[in-house]
Amino acid sequence: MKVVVLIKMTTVIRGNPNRAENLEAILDPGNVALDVNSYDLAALEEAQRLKESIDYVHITAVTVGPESAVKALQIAHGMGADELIWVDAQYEGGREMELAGLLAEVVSKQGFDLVLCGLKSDDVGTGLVGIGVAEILGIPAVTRSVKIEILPDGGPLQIHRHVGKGNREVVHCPLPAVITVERSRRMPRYPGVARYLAARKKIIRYAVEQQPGTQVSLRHVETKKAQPRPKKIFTPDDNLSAADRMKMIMTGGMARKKKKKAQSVVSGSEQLYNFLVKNGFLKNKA
Amino acid sequence: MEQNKLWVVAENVDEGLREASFEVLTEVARLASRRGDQIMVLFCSAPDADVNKIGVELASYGADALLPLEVVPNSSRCVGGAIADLAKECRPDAIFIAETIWGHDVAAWVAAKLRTTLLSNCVELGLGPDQELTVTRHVYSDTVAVKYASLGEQTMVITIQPGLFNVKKAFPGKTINLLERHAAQAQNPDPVQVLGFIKADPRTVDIVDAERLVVGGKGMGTAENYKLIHEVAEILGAAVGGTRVARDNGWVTLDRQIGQTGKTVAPELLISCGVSGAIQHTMGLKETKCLVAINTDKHAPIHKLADLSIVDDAPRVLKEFIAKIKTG
Ligand SMILES: Cc1cc2nc3c(=O)[nH]c(=O)nc-3n(C[C@H](O)[C@H](O)[C@H](O)COP(=O)(O)OP(=O)(O)OC[C@H]3O[C@@H](n4cnc5c(N)ncnc54)[C@H](O)[C@@H]3O)c2cc1C
Repeated sequence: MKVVVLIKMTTVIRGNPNRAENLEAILDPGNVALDVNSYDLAALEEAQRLKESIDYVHITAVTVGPESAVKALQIAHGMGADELIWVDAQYEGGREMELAGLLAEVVSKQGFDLVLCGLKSDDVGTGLVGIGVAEILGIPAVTRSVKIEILPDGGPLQIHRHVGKGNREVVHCPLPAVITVERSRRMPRYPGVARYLAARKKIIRYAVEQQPGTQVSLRHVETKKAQPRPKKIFTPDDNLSAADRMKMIMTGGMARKKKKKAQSVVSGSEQLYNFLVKNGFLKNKA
Repeated sequence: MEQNKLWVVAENVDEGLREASFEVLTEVARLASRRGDQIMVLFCSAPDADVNKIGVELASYGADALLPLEVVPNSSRCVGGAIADLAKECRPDAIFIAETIWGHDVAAWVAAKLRTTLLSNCVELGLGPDQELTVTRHVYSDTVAVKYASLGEQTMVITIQPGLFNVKKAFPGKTINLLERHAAQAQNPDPVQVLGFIKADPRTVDIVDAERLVVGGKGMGTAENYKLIHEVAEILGAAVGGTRVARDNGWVTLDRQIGQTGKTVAPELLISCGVSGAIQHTMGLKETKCLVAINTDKHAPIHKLADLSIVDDAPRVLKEFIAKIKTG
């Protein structure tokens, strides 16, 4: 089975950005570092697990970016990828679908059964590229995977996807397909040093004639330091006293509620039990 | 449909439409009233849904038209495809969706099919000097804000972070134009098959996602007593959380600490044992629906927030509670 993993380097802000006075200070080269996108590491880990679960899995890691992107491939190789492809091109934000088109071309040329990629990127990610590749190739896609299993006898893939609140949905997906991977409890393995160092010799570089590209219908207005946006303001009940309203705002909306008067005759555990039963949290055993 | 320049895609939940969809609608309606735009709400309705009732409600938030969609199969890919097809025909200025798990997938499919970018997780909407739409996204882990303005040639696909905007019925008594149900049958059915659903295991679920929590504080006294918290959690199918003091004592790990330096939780039920209710802790409780407090001190601030306050020794209450359950 040929698995292609799409990875990229992301910009990580170091230090405490809240202390920085302005945007320049935040994005100062001394304060930022490049790191492999954490979701992509999860995708690489998932590819390795597939490799361990069945006999023949060939993993190709593909990255698009400037020279610095090569590090992502080194890490991929350190984690166990077999083939490394570096597409020397750069796509600024807003052109995700062109990037998806390029990736679709690369993976088709490479040949694949499964494309894995991160759900989104840590830095400016919109979470569009994976679905974009599937759309352009006209193949199925499953998002937010936390576990991929291969069913015996060439059946479809069985995928657990995260659907919020820690719950999962189990789906079957035939190959070829694109799967975007969510970060999960499965820690990505540490890249082996020898393979990390040996990676540079293996990298295949494609240079791409950068097309001027269709213009996205967006104008960049400004980039500035983000002000944390307050969450919804709770509007307290009018008939509360001023002190209670203050309290409610400070605690973010937990009103002073009417509570049961402590009934001294009933023990604490009885009170707890009765309350839980009455509110449907517990089935009455009696 | 052509005169509706702004589209809002609403998300269904069991009890109707998702709160986040109303947040998006309220915010979009605020812009639309300044620009004189019409808003159309699209939603995937079950055949038996009472669209009139939903329409009346949506109108009071500012919707001008409602288009019930009936997409077969009902996957995010097919829904996205149906919306993209409509958008190609009617060319709205923007399509807004709340950034939920479903919302993100649908928005990404719409953007992919329209071959445009996706402005995901936006935190601010506005109007520029020429009344053009502007949107702000936070990038680099919320440290940098980037603002874009529409040039108006393409449909923008925008998702909005939930929980930021207030919901407001700013247009009481407004009427809505209920459009005919739009049925779309995907040409090539989505080959992804949904087989089942696995509920989260309370023992391993992230406390942020937990539906029930049992939380212990310094008042539990010892690590031995803290095991009672785990036992009660097991009985109720709840996850275990703790205060800062509980974490400092090594009773819980950092990823289970609730509060300012920990996590904000949103359970249906939270049982708080031996916790004083310091503001740095209760900040993390604000989304809690039902709170039970067990604390020996009847003046402890946690009692003020509780739906049920038990002024009693927490380890003893829990022990007796466990005994009661075990003996039946
Ligand atoms: C900058 C900052 C950030 C902080 N961030 C956090 C945070 O994220 N999360 C957090 O939790 N805290 C945080 N704190 C600490 C917070 O201020 C409190 O100190 C902490 O929450 C108190 O924990 P507690 O309720 O377990 O302990 P205490 O405040 O000591 O309360 C113990 C309570 O147990 C009761 N009690 C004693 N014996 C019993 C018994 N046998 N049965 C029943 N009840 C009993 C007592 O009456 C008392 O009310 C922060 C503090 C600072 C300064």
